[in-house]
Amino acid sequence: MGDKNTRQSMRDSADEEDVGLLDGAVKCKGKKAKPVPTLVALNVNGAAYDGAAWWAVVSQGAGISVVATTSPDDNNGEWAQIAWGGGGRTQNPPNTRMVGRRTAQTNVQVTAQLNGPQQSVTIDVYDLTAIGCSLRTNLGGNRWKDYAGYVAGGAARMTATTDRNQAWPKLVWTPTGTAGPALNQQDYAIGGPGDVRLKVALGDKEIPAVLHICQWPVLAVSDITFSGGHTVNNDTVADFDNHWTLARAQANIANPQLDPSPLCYTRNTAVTLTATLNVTTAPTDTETVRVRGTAAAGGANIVWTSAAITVNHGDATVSFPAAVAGSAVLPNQVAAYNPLTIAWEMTDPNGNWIAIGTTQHRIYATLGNPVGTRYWTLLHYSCTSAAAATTDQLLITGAFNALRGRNLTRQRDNVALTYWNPQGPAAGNWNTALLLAEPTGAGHCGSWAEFLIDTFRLHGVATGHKVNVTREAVVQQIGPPPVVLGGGVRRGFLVAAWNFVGPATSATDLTHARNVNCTVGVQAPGQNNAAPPPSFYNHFVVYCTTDNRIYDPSYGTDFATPAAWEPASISGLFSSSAAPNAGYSPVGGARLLQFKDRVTNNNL
Amino acid sequence: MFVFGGLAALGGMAQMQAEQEKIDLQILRRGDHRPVDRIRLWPEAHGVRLFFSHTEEPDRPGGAHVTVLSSMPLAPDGKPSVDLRADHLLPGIAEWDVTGMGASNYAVAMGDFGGAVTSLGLYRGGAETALTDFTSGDDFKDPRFSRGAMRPPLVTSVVDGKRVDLLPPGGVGQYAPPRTAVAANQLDSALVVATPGGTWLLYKQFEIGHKRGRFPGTLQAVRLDDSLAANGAAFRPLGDRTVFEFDADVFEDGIAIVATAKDGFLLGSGKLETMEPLEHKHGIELRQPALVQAGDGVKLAFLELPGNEFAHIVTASVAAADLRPR
Repeated sequence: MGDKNTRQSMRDSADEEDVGLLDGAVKCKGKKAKPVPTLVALNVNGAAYDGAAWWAVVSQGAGISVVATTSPDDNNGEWAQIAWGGGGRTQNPPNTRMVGRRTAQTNVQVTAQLNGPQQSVTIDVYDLTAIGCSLRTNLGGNRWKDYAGYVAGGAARMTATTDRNQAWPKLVWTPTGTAGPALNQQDYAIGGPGDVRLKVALGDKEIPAVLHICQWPVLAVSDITFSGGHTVNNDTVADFDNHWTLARAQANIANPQLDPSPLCYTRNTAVTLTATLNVTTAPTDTETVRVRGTAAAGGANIVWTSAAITVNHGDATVSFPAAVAGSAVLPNQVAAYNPLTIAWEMTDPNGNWIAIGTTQHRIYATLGNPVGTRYWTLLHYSCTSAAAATTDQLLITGAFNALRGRNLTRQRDNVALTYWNPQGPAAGNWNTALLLAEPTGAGHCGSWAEFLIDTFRLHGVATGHKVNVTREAVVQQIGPPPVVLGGGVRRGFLVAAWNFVGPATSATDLTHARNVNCTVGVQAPGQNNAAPPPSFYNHFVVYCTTDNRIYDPSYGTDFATPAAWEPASISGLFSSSAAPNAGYSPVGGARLLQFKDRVTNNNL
Repeated sequence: MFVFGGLAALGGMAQMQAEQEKIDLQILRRGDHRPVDRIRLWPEAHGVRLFFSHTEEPDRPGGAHVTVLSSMPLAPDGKPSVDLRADHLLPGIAEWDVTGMGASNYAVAMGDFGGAVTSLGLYRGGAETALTDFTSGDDFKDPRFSRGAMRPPLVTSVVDGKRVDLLPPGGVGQYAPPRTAVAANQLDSALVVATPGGTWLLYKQFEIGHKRGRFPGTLQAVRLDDSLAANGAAFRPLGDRTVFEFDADVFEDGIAIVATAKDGFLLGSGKLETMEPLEHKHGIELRQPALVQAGDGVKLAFLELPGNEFAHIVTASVAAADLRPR
């Protein structure tokens, strides 16, 4: 029986229950009504909820499961009634709906309905596919390389690649750097060498990366070998070795970049060199560099550039693969490049040149190819004093100018080279080598004449002749048969200036008594000697066939003719006999002395 | 110019303990404290005579530098006497050699440096003869009289450091102009020794280095033929040993040589081609080696620290057996 005002409920077939009427009508006893199962909720496993949607990252592992919760019993019976939609397959038990995550998927909607409103979840499956880096070299395998101090901007910019931008906010960088301009970028400041290990993660997917920050090698020149020139002799001690070495240069306290070992080249020729360099900072990895040196020699800019040089991590030194000729030849003139500074550079990782120090050298440029031993002292003075000479005459005049000052010093030890100072005991030193070897630096006219002749020959000028100056041969000649000179009487000349009490006017007579009324006056100075011996029996000068002049290197004087030499250089003649034993004015009369050219054997 | 004179000697000889066992170098007491520059020995009928020189500075401005040559017998009562005073224009130590001319007469060959070159003079019997002419421009050094049977002896000289010239006797009391026997670089001393088996020219080639009187070098030898020309290749009778100064004399059928070395001296005798010199160490630098045949051995003399007022002349007698390896 029913009433329009009554409400009836379903009666559970399994139960009975009292039913109540809405308006208080009579209750009747019957079975209780079973509730209708409903969907309570959908939960997602294997995905994260970002507040708006569920998301996961592509994985080859387990998929995403959408799990329904039902009511009242939340059991298989209820679950079996769920109407699923979207996603993948329904699992067993049937309250689970799977969503695959092996590929990226967008807005996967899984719906479920059970006697009520449909519920749904939306799931995104993202993918993190790659990582990129701004460093200069991609080594592969997510390794990049760059060099400490050379990273652009001082930082490496990492860029994560995902299937779509929406994943970017979900990226996690470890360690944390500095956010880049885009959400998928992270900047890492790069300091010194070493490996920087980092990773980017999207969900449970990670991509690691290694930033291999390397040390670029630092080199310093330690040895330079020069070639193409002429070996210089250290003033009879030994030949120089045509090397510049760091150790030798550093031993030069006054100038620790200057190796005293001089070099000699003919003008207008190329200077060739090869270098060895210390690896002062080892590279992390094997690297390839180039080295160059640059120098200004007069108006010439000379560059020596090496071929590629491999520098390994364990190398203590590296060397030029081959000797390199300068890019320009020396200027076409006599010169003393003292010092010639070479500025050294090496390439950096960007191929730019960076300075690695300077070296200094003494380079002498001769007029022509040297003949004979290249003694340092001769080179130094002639190339300095005759700098810019381009002809034999300019060389001769310029080189002799060095002797006019009468203050030469030996280069190897700065000892003054002298004419008869000290006086004796060695009546020798008849050539350049013996003068330069003499500990006191003292020489006589023979060694000074050869010093000048050898100076010319150093420049390929072989026009200097040694000339013996004596009183006329007719007086001194002795053989055959030998002439007894009456107790060893010899005749010589009085070196200017002697004072005659009453002039020595005669051109043919000894009219005065030496050291009585013919006395020593102010002497003509010699090389580093204000007062050489005042009289000699013989003397050596140099006759130069280039300009036909007489050069007297002992005194630093030169003359157009032997006749001009006499009045300027001597005051007269003397004899070793008893007085009168001095006289013979050299002025206005006939020539008093014989000048015998020892090359031609002729008298000048 | 030269002047003969004599001086009385004081004291006798003193024994000095030498460092080598076989040769005792004895200090010679001359009774004369002037520094000695050069020495030579010459055998006499009854012994050996020592010649030595010193240099006197001018006694007035413009005066001569004087080489004073003295001598004394090497005998317990030997007294020095001045034999020669030779004037020189310029300071320096004159090189000289002495040879006997019989009956206690001697001839001296001496260099005179003229400023550019040295010329040689022969002092004999109170007179000086010019041996060479310095107008040629040649520089004559180290005059040496030959040793051995060649009488009168010839004179050798090293010229310009590049050749050895011989001045053979050219007539009674005269000498012929020099002629070249050997030409080579860096020569500084030479000596001819005339042995019964042949005439040899000994000469030294030097290298520039630390001097001990002369630069270090090696001794060379070459045979001279009857015309006194070099005959055959030169060789090194002392091997490659470095020597500074040397002297030699005829000894038995060969030659005895003494040469100063870095640590003492070398002494050898026999044929030059097969000589095996012995090295004798000495603690003080020795210079001016002098050697003459004396009795059945040789007499040696050296200068210690020449030119120094404390320098000694040291002498030794060496038996023939000690001249060769045992």
